[in-house]
Amino acid sequence: MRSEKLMDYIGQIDDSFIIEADSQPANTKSARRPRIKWVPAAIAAACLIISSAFLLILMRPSGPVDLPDLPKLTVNTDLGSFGFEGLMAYNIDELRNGNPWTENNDLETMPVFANPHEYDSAGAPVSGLTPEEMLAEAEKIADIFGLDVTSLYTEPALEEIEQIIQKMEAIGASEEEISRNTSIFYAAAKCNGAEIRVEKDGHVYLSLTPETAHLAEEIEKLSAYESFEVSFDIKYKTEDGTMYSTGLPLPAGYSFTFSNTSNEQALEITQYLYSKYGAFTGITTPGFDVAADYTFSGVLTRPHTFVFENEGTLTDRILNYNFRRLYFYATDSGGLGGISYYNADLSKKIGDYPIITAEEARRLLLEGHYITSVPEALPGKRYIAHVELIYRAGRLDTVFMPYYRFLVELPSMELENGLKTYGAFYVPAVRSEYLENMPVWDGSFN
Amino acid sequence: MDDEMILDLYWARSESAISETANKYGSYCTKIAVNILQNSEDAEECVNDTYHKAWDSIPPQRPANFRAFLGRITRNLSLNRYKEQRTQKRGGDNITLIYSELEECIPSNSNVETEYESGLVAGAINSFLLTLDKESRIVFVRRYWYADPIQAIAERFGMSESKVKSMLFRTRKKLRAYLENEGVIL
Repeated sequence: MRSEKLMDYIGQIDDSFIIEADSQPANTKSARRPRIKWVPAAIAAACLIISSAFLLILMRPSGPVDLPDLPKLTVNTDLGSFGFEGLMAYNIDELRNGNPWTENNDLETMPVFANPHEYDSAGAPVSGLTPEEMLAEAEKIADIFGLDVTSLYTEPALEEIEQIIQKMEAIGASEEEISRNTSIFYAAAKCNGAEIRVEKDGHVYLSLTPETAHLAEEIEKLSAYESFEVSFDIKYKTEDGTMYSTGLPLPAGYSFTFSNTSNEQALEITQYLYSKYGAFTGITTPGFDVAADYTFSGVLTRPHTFVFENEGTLTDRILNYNFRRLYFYATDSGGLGGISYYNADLSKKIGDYPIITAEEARRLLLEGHYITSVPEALPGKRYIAHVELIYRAGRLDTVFMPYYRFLVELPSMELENGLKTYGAFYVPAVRSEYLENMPVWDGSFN
Repeated sequence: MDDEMILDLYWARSESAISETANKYGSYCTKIAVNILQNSEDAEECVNDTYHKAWDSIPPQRPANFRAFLGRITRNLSLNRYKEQRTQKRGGDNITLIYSELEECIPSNSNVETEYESGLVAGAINSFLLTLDKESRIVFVRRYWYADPIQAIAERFGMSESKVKSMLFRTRKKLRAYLENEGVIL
């Protein structure tokens, strides 16, 4: 049946269409929202006018402020595949992290950067290394670690891409269509005891087996790369044939598990791992982030911890916290699952942008000027539990700009075991004069 | 827990990857499966199979969009199960209706024996979707990707059912013309 085939083909459409259709478009009339009668509508309109006027007053310079001439920024209101960003804990203090930002500060500006990489709406790189460059990098990495390459290939294979190009050209497909259907995801080099992958955006992945795990101690050889990950392919097989990773065994007295590792234990193991693997980072004053939250069943869980440079001005420390991190990954069995390094390319600075204070952001939050993936409206001022300044630097962010991230208790989601859910709400930290679009929550689940 | 953390759990072969996936995406996947199978037991089995398929695929895969990745697996598994059980169906179910609607999109030149690579047809459908206005595109994807019943789409977007049917009718006609113009043969 040809319609079945068509249904199957429709199943292959781009992720971006699937995600788009799963969010409520702002301009549609949702039947789930109550119909507004004229009196409440008039009140709502009046409130809107008052709040807009208040916003203008709030955002108006309080004195004769000389605002620098800087390009306007577009706030990314698409949280992509983030899903519902909620953290679970019995109280907010359990969710403290290593962010050096504190509310008591004298920050007036923060730098904003263009994301040097370009990704499509599904998060796949659209520009970057050519297949030949990816293959060359994979070979180069094998060489610097002294690994013998047994096979070198791209995914999809170059021959496969060539066939698709020929077929698409034969039916007169445009260059754009051909390009969209012939993207190479990564190049890989299979070696004796290791596998290397280089992705289009330059990310490097190195998987080591028990025979080659010692190479992790030479991790500094990858320090020229913007981001890389070293994982330990050390597994055991259960009776039913399922494979689980044990990670790299750690010395006696150290255990790094996902679940029920206390904050003190997590800090201790992170300090040990940093001393063993972190020298290449050049960090002089390490800051440690061992944040964790709970699962529904009340198990404290922490997939990873990270280390950052905590030296310099507060601005430097905030940038380091957000853009230069050395991660250590836990396993179920207590071994080290992997190490990754993220050292973002911040060479494309747009400028130092004046920012609002956390208090001003709090007011904007209460007026609905926020972005969130939480599937319900802000429950009220008294539920605001925590605020911090962070940079959103995901693949869908074309600029890396600061936001105030509020953690807000969601009373409707409290569990019988006492666990509370804290939802994340984001308010742009850059002054509104520099924003093309001040977000307004539209009642939809992003 | 955000998607990156869940993917880290898969990569670390942690059993909690599946429970975290179920916590976060269980209802999303179940809705797709129920739309297609219209049977909660079958849907539950497909959703459980989705988790196992994800477990088998990650690593080596690390999907850029985990939500769409899971939804796609659920859709495929559910449609496969639907096809296996078709002999037991008596017609008139949601997928039978969808198949019959999609018959209208089959290009008239499809009596030729040549078949196209599925990737090429999917590419043409992607290009077609870009030509639509956002509202029509979302309604189309809700109906033919998520297999939402007409009534559910109408409720979701605050439209009448007749408006949804009319939009879908126009979009199907456009798709047929587009596929014909592109020389796509099914």
